[in-house]
This record gives sequence, structure tokens and C-alpha cells, in this order.
Amino acid sequence: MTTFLHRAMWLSASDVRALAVAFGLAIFSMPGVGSASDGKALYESTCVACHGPAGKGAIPGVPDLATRLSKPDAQLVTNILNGVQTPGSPMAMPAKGGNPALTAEDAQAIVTYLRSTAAAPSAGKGTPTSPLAASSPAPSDGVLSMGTAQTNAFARGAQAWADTCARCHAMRDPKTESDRNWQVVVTHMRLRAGLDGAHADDILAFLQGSN
Amino acid sequence: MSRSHHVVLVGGLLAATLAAAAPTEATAPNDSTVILHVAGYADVTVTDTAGDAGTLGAVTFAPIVHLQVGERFLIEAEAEFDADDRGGEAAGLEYATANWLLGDSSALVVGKFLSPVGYFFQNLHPSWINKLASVPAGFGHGGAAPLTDVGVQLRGGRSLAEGHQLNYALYLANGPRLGLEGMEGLDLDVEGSSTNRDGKRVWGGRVGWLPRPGLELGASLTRGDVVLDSGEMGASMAEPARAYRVEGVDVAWQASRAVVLRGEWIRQRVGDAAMSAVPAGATWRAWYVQGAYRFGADRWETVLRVGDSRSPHGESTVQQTALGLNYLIRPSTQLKLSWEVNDSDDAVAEADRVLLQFAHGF
Repeated sequence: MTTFLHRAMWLSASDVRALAVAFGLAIFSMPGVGSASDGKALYESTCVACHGPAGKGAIPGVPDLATRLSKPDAQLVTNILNGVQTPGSPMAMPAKGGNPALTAEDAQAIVTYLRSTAAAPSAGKGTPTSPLAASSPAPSDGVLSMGTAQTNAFARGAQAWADTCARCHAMRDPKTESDRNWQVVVTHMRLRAGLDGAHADDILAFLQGSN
Repeated sequence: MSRSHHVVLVGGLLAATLAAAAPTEATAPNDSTVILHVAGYADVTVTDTAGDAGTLGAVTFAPIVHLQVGERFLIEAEAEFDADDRGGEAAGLEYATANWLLGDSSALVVGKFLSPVGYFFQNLHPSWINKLASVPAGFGHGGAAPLTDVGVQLRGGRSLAEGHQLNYALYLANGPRLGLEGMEGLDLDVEGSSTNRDGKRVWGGRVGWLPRPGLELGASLTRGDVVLDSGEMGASMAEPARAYRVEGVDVAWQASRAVVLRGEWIRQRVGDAAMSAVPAGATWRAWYVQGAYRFGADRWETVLRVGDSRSPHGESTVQQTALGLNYLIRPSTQLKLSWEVNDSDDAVAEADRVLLQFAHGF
């Protein structure tokens, strides 16, 4: 570190200005908050477990997102942030998709992404690009700055919840139990369904995060 | 099963217990938290039986009490209360267990538990889960599948390579009680008792394999001995032990978000005993396949189930086709209308039925 600082002292003022401009341009050219590319990663980490890679719903009670885009952005963002009960559906969407780290900017990014993919033509047969047109690649961990261990557990838990619980019974709304009670229910179901501890922990993270 | 086999089996369970518990020493569960939780289900069923008056209403209330201590211990018990408009009343303890989560992939269960052999009764019998208003022929009381038992279990699950998952349950328990129905027919009471009248025990379990999340394939097996409890009729005779065997396979496939298919086959056999008051053995066997399709914003569901039950007793020997239409008021609250077409040599079992059930899970 001492060596580095010593060398840095030899930079002229113009060198420093040039570096600052270059750094600023690099920051400016990066995708901004609320862009479709951020929205894609957010969708794939937060929404995909319930809404599915094609946006048509991965579990019973989740509607096709393509039917929701007629609403204005502000309404969709509000629904994402506050949660929404779709008329006729037995299950409500949790606030922030159950992801407590989701911000209003993130919600706008997701809406922007959904609108862009709904408007974009398909890349051709066998090369799906849109969650509203066809399947997308599986989400990758740590894509986002918010891709913390908690968020990853939440996403895994949502998928495990959809995969495991629906095999035997209808999916209960995560809001029907308190965080403490979900801990007991998940312990009970871990025993009953033969889940390993990691899966049970992920499902608990999802249910408590959705509550 | 001989005493030496018992020692080996119990020793194996304890060794597995200790091995499974050892790696978890590093984790520090919060043992100070105590949570009391009440769950369960209730239903009201109206049955119209062909050629009979049917019932205006039968009510079941099955509360489940959970007491979780820290992150590893769970004590749970389910009681069941039944009543109908013909004066029938019943109350009983469905199960009561103490559960210790040993590690990531194993738990020790002690007490009276739902039999880990087979799939339907331990996972699907609550009315808010069962997709028809009745249980499949042969999978209820007096059927071919073991229901509950008293003993010890080691159970859990493990994630394997390439997304495969495995779950298992191994048990050692008192086993069923073999009695008599009438003067000569063997009768198997498959509800667990804390009193092991014949002094014999059974062992076995179930292994489930999930090659992918929506598909589960299971196999069950039980081995042991039972002794005929012939009551007053055979009080002067010393009954010999005879073999008790159970085999079963099951499959569940979530074909899409709207379609769930499943099936199960199970068989219980009691061996011959030449020196017994009832020398001939007996076999109970049942199977069913079921498909369910959900539609109408997931509010509506149609179900088709075909099954068959064979037993030494006519009233439990029946071929059954059942069709159901369900309305999900909420995911755990359903109104179910079921039609049963039954074919049997027994007049009571032969009667077709229409059932309307309101079921609620809480």
C-alpha cells in the first residue's frame, strides 16, 4: 500500500483529471437503476419462483403477467411494493414479492423489463428472450448488488415451496401464519415430507419474507 | 423377529442417530424459544347412499397441537373427534410424537405416529388435502394399509447430485394386532397401540426418490411377526407366531401446474400357522390411481380416481370409481362433491354414494 501511494504521488493533476473523467464515463455508461437489464436480473431472482420463467405462473393461483400490463406503471409498482390480491385467485401476492430488500426503483425496473420483453419480437424459434413470450435462462446467484445470501435463500425457498408443497395440497397464502408459526409449520412439514434441513430453511426464509 | 434381530436393529438406529447428530455440533440452535401452535382440520360430510337413507351430516374435528422448543425439538399430537346424525361418536388420539431434529438429513421420532409405510395415510388423508370426499377403497380404517403404530422412527431427507432428492423413514414398532372377525376370519387392527399384546415387533419403512421436483417414486416394506389374539375362544391355546409382511409402491407426478397424477399399491399379508386355531393366513391388498385437474383461476378442480380393494372380508372387497368436482373457497377451504360407483359382492359395499363435503384446514 505504501508503495502504491508513493507511486500515485507522481501522477500529475491532468492525469488525475483524465482518470476522473474516464471513471465518470464508465459509471455513466453502466446500466442505471430502473433499467430493463436490472429488471431482468431482479425478475429472475425475486419473481420467477411464483411467476415462472415465462411469466405465466409457476404455481396455481398466480396469473399470467401478460394480462396485467395494461395497467399504468405507477399501479404496477404499487402492486409490487404493497402486494395484491388478484380477483378470483385463492392466493395473494406478498408485498415486494416477499423480498424485503426490493426498492421502488427495483419495482420500476421489473415493470420496465416486463414491458420491454412484452413489446420485443421473439428472437426466433428456440431462442426465447422474453419472460412473457417464452422461457428465460435460470436465475444466477449474486447477479445483483441485492443478491445477498438472504435473497438467494428467499428465491430458493420460493421454488422449493412451489415444488414441494403443491405435490400434496393447495398452496396456502404465506400471510395466513405469523413468522413464529411458520417456523413450527415448516418443522412439522420437514418431518412429514422428508425435507432436508437446507430446503426447510429456504422455505422458511421465503414464507417469513412473504409474510 | 428374534431378540438378536431387535438388538441389531435398535443398535443400527442408535448408531445412525449418533452419526447423524455428530456433524451438527457446530451449529448453535436457539434452545430458549418455545412456540405453541394449533393447526388441524375439520369437515362436514353429507352422504346419499343408494338404497339407504344416507346421513344428513357427519362431522370430523381434528386439532393438532405443536410445541416447538428451540430449533430442534417438536412435540406434536393430533386428536380426532367424529360424530354423525345416527348417534355415532368417536374420539381418539391419531398420533402423539416427540421429534428431535438430529441434523440436516435426519430426525428421531418417538411415540405413536402415522405409519411411514405407504403414502396416502401419512400425507394425504386430512380432508382439506384429500381431493375427494372419501378415502380410496382399502386405504382407510379396516383396509390394506397400516395406519398408525407405536415405536421409534428415524426419518429425513437428503439432496443428491443433479437435483435429485431422497427421503426416507425407518421404524421399529409394536405392529398390528391380529384378531378374529366371527369365528374363523382373521382381522387385522392396523391402528397402533401402546400395549404390545403379542410381544412381537415389526420393522420397515419407506424410501422416496425424486428424480426431479415434480415427480416422487416411493417403495415401502415391513417385516415382522404377529400372534393371533383369539380372545375367549382360544384362551386355552398357545398361539404360534406367524409372519407379517407389507409391501407397497407409490408415485406422485405434478405433470403441470394444473394437473397432478398419483397412484399407490399396497399389500399386507399374514402367514399360515399350522398349529393355530385359524391355520390359514390372509392377504389385504389395495390400489388406486388418481388424476386431478385445476381450472377456472385455480378455483375449480375435477378429480377422477379408480381403485380396488381385496380383503378376507366382503365389506372391504370392492372396486371403486370416484369422480369429484371441488370448489376452492380458499386454498385450505374447499367444497367437494364426489360420486362413487362401487362394485362388490357385499350389499353394503356395493352401494353407490354421492358425498358433499365442506373441508377446512387451519
